[in-house]
Amino acid sequence: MKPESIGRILKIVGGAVPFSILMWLLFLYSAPTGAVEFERRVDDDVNIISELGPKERVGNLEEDRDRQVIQRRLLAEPVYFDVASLRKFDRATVSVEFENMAQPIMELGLQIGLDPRAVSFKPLHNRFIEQLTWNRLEDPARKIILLQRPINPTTGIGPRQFSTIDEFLNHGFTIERVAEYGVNIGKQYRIPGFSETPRRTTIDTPLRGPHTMWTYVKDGSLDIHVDVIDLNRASGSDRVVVDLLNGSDEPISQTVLEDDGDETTGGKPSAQRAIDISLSDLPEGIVKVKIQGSDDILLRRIETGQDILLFEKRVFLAGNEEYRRSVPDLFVAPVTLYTDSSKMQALTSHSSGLQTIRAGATDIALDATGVTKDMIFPINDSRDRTLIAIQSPKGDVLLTADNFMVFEKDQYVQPDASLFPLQAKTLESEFDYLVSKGYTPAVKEKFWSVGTATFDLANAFVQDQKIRFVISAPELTTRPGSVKVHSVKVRFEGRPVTFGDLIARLKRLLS
Amino acid sequence: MTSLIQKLKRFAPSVSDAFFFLFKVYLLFFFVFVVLETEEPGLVSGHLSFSAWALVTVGMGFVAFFAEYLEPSPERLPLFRRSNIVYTILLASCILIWILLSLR
Repeated sequence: MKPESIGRILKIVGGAVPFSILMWLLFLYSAPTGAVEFERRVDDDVNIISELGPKERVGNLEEDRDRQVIQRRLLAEPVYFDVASLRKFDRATVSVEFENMAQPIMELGLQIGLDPRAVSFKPLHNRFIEQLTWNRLEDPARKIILLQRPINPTTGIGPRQFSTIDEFLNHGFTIERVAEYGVNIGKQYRIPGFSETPRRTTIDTPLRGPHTMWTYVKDGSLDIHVDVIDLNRASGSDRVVVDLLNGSDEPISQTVLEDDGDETTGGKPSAQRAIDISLSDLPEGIVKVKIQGSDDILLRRIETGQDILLFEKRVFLAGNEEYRRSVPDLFVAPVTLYTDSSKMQALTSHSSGLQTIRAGATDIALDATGVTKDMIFPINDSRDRTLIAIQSPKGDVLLTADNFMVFEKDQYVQPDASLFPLQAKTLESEFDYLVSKGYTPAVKEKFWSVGTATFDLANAFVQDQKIRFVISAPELTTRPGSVKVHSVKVRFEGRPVTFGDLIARLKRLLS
Repeated sequence: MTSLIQKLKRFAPSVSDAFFFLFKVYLLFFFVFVVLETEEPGLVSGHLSFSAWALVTVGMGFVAFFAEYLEPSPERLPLFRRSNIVYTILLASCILIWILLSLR
């Protein structure tokens, strides 16, 4: 071959490489098919998926010479990794290759707010479900798994054995010692001997934004009245949707209050409007009232004929001068709530909301706006519910809790008395039944287990075009290093890029 | 041995020419990748090692240099002389930018 030909071939082949790489990168960038997948082993140095962090919670790279694999141990939790999301995707399926030697529960989360604690978790690995050799019933269609402690063959003593999942669901709420994981199926609760009183329950404290309440229907009738004001502080529609759901989260009814017509920023508050819901012939049991809308809605007053009124996880007290400036006759007074939670957070966004909150026997100083303060109540765990008083002298505070809050003690009932959420610290001896929904067991591979979770990215918190995922294993503090991670894989899926999209993008660039 | 060197010498000007061309192309792409990475963090570094790219680029420069050394071509400017210093500065700049990026 002539030297010139050699030179020409080298130029063509060598020159084609960077061009091909550039085209490949642009293909990945635009993900024209709507899907793209990235993987990072713990020893890789590519960083579209970041290293597991923070560094102090993750061990150094280790080589397991027997198995010839590279791994990192998790020393504390939560551990996170960021993934560059180069375009908008609808969902992400995240797989983690790991070995879990002692953690009862591992979960994978998606950060959904600026606060790093705002994380939506999904199961990654549950050793209770995977390793208990109890009698197991599975319903793959509904993704329900039921484990029943077997009858002791020697003594013949043991819990009742159900032959189908439906049989358990129909009876499960009259029995004791049920641990639940990722389920709401346990909320078809009956209160033995409960009778409605003729009194009406009224919440005069104004509340801001969406709230979820649980109430109890005994005689089939339910009525609820909510006075609503649209504060019109932020732009956009402030439609209010009230969904009523039964204890299994099945819809009962929906009521909609359309926006007041003012979608501007800094507008005047709307006139007071009412939402009235009255239903009859309902079966006995828990009913959830989900009031959904933006933080522009003010629930000025709530009145119901039901005796039980539990607020689930979030109460935004709005009885404060901050809101009285817009609504002069707003009811402003110190508030006392009661909670059965083990953890709460308090946050105020205005200087008029700075105050000292009394939580049980502890004072929590809300001394800066926009700073979340934690409250821990160690006497409450998954089995023992004690009501703790929370006193707010000024209102204008967002209270979030891991369980329920009530405004009067007699509005409280423990709605899941026979059930409790399975937690990492739960002991096997504490329950006879374990029911889970939506859990997919990790896939066993040669050396690793592969746990997978899919997240809707609509609520994902995106910063610098990065999405953060979190690995949580609460018992790592007592057993550090008991989880080894080998790799992380993320598959993004969204709408494919069409020719129309390209034209639209081109028009935007030219305009 | 002598005949092998003679053969290599025969090919050297073409090889030097080709690798010098590739050196410039890879240098140009290094710059393109650095710009892309700056615009979309992770787009390039998520899939491609900047270190490996820099190594390959420098490697091509050296191959071109040694081929040139083996059999200089009177028709071209020898490598790393006069105008070629520009490419060297460009390469050094790219490596510096990459180091700065990796420090973020």
